[in-house]
Amino acid sequence: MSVSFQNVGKVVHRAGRAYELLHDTNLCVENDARVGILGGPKSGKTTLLRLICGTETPDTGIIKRDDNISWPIPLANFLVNTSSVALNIRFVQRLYGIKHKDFPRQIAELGGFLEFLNVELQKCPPLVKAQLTFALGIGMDFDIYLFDDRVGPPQKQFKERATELFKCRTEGRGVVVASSIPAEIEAHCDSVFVLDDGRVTHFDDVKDGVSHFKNLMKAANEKQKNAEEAKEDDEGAGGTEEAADGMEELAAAL
Amino acid sequence: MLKLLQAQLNAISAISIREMQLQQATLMYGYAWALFDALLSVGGLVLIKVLLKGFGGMPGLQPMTFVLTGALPWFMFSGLWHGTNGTIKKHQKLLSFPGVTPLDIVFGTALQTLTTYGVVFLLTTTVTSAIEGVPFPRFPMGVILVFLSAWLMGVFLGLIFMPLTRLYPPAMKFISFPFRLGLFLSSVFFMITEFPSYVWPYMVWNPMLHVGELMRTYWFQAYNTPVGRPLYVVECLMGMGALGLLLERYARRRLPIV
Repeated sequence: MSVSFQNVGKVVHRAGRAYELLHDTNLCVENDARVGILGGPKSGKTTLLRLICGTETPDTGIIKRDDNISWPIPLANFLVNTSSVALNIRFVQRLYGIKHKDFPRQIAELGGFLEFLNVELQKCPPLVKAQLTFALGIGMDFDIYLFDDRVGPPQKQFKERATELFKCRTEGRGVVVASSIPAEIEAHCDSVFVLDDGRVTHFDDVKDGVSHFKNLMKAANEKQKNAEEAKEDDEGAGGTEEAADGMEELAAAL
Repeated sequence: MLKLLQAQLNAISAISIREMQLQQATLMYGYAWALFDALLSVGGLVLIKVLLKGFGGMPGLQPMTFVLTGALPWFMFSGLWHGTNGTIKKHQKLLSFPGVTPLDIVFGTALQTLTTYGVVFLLTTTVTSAIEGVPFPRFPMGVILVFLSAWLMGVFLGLIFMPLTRLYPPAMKFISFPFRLGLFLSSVFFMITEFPSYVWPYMVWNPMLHVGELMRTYWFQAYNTPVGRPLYVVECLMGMGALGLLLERYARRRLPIV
């Protein structure tokens, strides 16, 4: 067992309100499993990934980790635009104590941006940044790789190569993909956790998980549509009441 | 345990090197400007001391070297304790990497500060000692240890005040004010022997006074401190270190970065 959650709870604060992202969650991810996490927007997928890799702490419960776990790939916020691509790679190399001198070149070859290695990041084409963040994550030696939203950059030029790299580098390793796109999970995972309203449900068959997720999304959409219609009705009624009040005031004044 | 320690040392050194590379990175000769900034901050004080010759001067303590040996550790200490929360906020994106903690950020940037002030200290004191004919320090290892104590004290005090800044962001404005007096009461400009002996008991609680006194004792042949105690500095460092680490742990879990 590589990562296990025991009765984990997590509350986050958004716009002054508390939301329970995880409620009494129990899950485990083996170090050779390919697991998906399906959830709607703002359901807590990224927070769950951060809890898995240890950059976030739970409010309740225990998380146990045995292995070397990646950061949620792609991670771009640490990059310095005024530094060269090589310097940005060197930073991660030092951070993880990698002694191999050719590490930046290896990453650049992996990502296919060797000609930009000594160019300032801000002067590189936008695709290089996406290639760099993907290659940097996948080029490191982890036991479990975490992917946030997508496996590989969405750009068509790099998608095929990214899928190839993903297959090659993650063979025999653990993979966790958190996404709201069912196709990503179906393409890369063997089992799935569906995250809904703070509850996590496990499905051994990805297809079952995806159909459950689609039903949830459909129900949520209908609920939202009904709520909007009800709101519109209320506003309409409110408008009539206001008009009536106005007429009464006018009558009193007259 | 050793693996964790190694990972933490890797993170600290990576952050420190990156911070050094990014210092004035947009200017030509980038890091040299960082050294120049530190030089400027003490240059003014040295000038005042030299122009007002005799003001606070003591026989056998040459004015330029005297100010540098007191002011550089003090400025390093002040910069460190004052900026801890800001440093964490500035680098909080690095916390997205598993294994990087706010403590790594604090120590990584503090290591860069130590390097900058260490280089400036070495350069300036060598030059002024040569100009003023000050002999080689009496106890060089003591000078290094006292310099490191000022650094550690700045780091630990920063960790102690950090939760307070998060609870009440303008707190530093109130805390900074009494600390300005420290410039005059911590053996930066005036040695304790220049004050009447009946006020000494009210001054010796200040560990930075001991740092200043010990620094001059270890540097100058002509000065022997009547109050400076190395053991007191060590005791304060241990106490401040334990409290600082404890409060940092509390802030990390309970107080969001503001």
